[in-house]
Amino acid sequence: MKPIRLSCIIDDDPIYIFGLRRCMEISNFCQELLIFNNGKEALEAFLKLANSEASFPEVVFLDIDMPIMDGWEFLDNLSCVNFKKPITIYLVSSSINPADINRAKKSNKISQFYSKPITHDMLKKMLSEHNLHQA
Amino acid sequence: MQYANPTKLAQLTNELIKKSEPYTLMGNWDVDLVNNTIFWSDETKEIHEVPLNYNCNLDTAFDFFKDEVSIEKLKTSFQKAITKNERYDLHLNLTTAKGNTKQVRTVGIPVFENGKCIRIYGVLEDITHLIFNQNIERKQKDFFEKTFNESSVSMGISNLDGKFLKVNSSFCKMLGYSETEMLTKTFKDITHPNDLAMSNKSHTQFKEGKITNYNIEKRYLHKNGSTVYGLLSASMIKPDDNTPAHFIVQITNISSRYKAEKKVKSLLDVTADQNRRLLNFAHIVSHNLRSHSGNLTMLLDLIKDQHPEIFENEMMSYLQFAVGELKETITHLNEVVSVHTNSKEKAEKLKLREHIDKTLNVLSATVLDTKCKIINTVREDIEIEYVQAYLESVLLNLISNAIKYRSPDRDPILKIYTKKIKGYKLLYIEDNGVGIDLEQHGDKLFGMYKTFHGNEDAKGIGLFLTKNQIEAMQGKIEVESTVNKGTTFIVYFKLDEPN
Repeated sequence: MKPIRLSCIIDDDPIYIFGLRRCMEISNFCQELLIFNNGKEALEAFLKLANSEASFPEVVFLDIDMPIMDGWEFLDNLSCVNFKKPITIYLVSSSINPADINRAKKSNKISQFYSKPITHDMLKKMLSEHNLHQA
Repeated sequence: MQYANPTKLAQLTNELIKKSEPYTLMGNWDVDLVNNTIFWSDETKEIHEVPLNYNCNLDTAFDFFKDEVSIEKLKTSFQKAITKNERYDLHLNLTTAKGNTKQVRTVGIPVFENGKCIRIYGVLEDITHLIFNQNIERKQKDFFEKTFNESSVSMGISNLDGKFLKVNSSFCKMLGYSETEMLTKTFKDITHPNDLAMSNKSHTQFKEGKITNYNIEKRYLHKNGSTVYGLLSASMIKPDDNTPAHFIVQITNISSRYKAEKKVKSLLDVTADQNRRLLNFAHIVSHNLRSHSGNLTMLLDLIKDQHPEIFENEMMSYLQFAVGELKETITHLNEVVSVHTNSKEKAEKLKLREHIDKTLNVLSATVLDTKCKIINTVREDIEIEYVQAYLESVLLNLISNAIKYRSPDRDPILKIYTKKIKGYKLLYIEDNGVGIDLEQHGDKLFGMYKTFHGNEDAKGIGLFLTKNQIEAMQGKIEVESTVNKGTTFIVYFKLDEPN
């Protein structure tokens, strides 16, 4: 399966980032990876990327609970970003709060809600969906 | 006024009395002191209950007055009349020839000639019924007076300006004033300042005749400054001429009720607030626990993948076991939290029989394996309003338990049937298994992490969840059991229809 060109993790949990990154490496999920520790960092970087010739992340793993700017605020602010290509956003959280899950279901910006932790199998499924989409 | 001829006057009087006798229960009598004779009219004889041919004589006339007070009064007055020319008018008790006691009025008028009493005459009136009526009236008055004074309801009468004319002891007690103090006050002095405007308005409407009575909850001021909550009922009294005369107020002291209501309300607020916080807390805890446990699982998986040789160390496999247990505990915790988060709006009409059959299907391998005989008499048309996931979970838990705790001594028989009581449909799940000692375990049966049979796969979460799910649907669960005979679980499904 063809790996994704560039993906992105927005999360404040270093262990989770470490683990997911290792998982991605093992499953050959993507060629390059961007990591941001909260919504604000990511948003600022996205705005810069959108105005440059650099490539834009195709898949984003977004956490909900983060300091400074949480996942929901990030999504609300995402409309200011001028996307050249559609992006896939996975909301990844440990939350089982139905309010969060329902909100994720209703949002048209989110492709899927995933419960932590992300496993090899989940990554494989995402990759095959992505490949199908690209074909 | 003096008549020239006393005899003439006497004759006139006699005639008048005689004519009026039948209408007044009044008889006349006449004593001739010169000839020592006595005359009783027919009516007088009737009052004495003697035959009309009764022969009166002066000596026996007094014998009809038997009680001491009456005879004493009569003799004294009679003596004064014939010696001092004084008339008398007495109320006496008379005992008739037949032994009846009557209240009578007797009037005596002496006639003097040359300074000597020659005659005395008068009337005798039966006033028994009058006295009786007066007694009733007095009793009624006493009764009302007593009711007013001793009522636990505060009562008062005020004039049109609102000044109290009469108050009962409850009223005084309610506000801590003496009766004398109360009678110097108007309703304005005892009304709580915050309710004064309202009371003034009602008072004005009263005076202008716009309203004649009203009921209202209002606050009063106790002498010590504290607030008294009262339920006031006020009425305008208009005598015959229809002009307002005075007010009657009745006040029920509802302070204790009011305080109790306030306390209940504040307790409810606190409880609701605590529930909200608890739910929030549960979400946060479960979220954070899940994050950490997720990370642990993930790291272990990575290590296993890259350095499988590490797992040859015994401690690593224990670590993996511990992480697995932690993950399961958190899953249970989440299930419990989610039971109370899922609201009733997700409830839908479900066919009970259909879901029981489905559950039995899921368990069919076990049913076959254990040779369990199933007698399911639940009717096809029974519908309940339920969250589907809960119903499936409840049925699976109870039915699989019934089979799991079968007796090794006999083939399991599982009976599933329903009954109906007011407001509920009851589902019975009855087995003939090992049973459970309810005296020993009853209160813990539905507790979290309680197991009783030493069964290896018993986690002690099933019945806890079942009870929570049933209660979240406004139902309840009961259990009956005899050791070595069997257990029956009874699930109450709340019906929406009141019938």
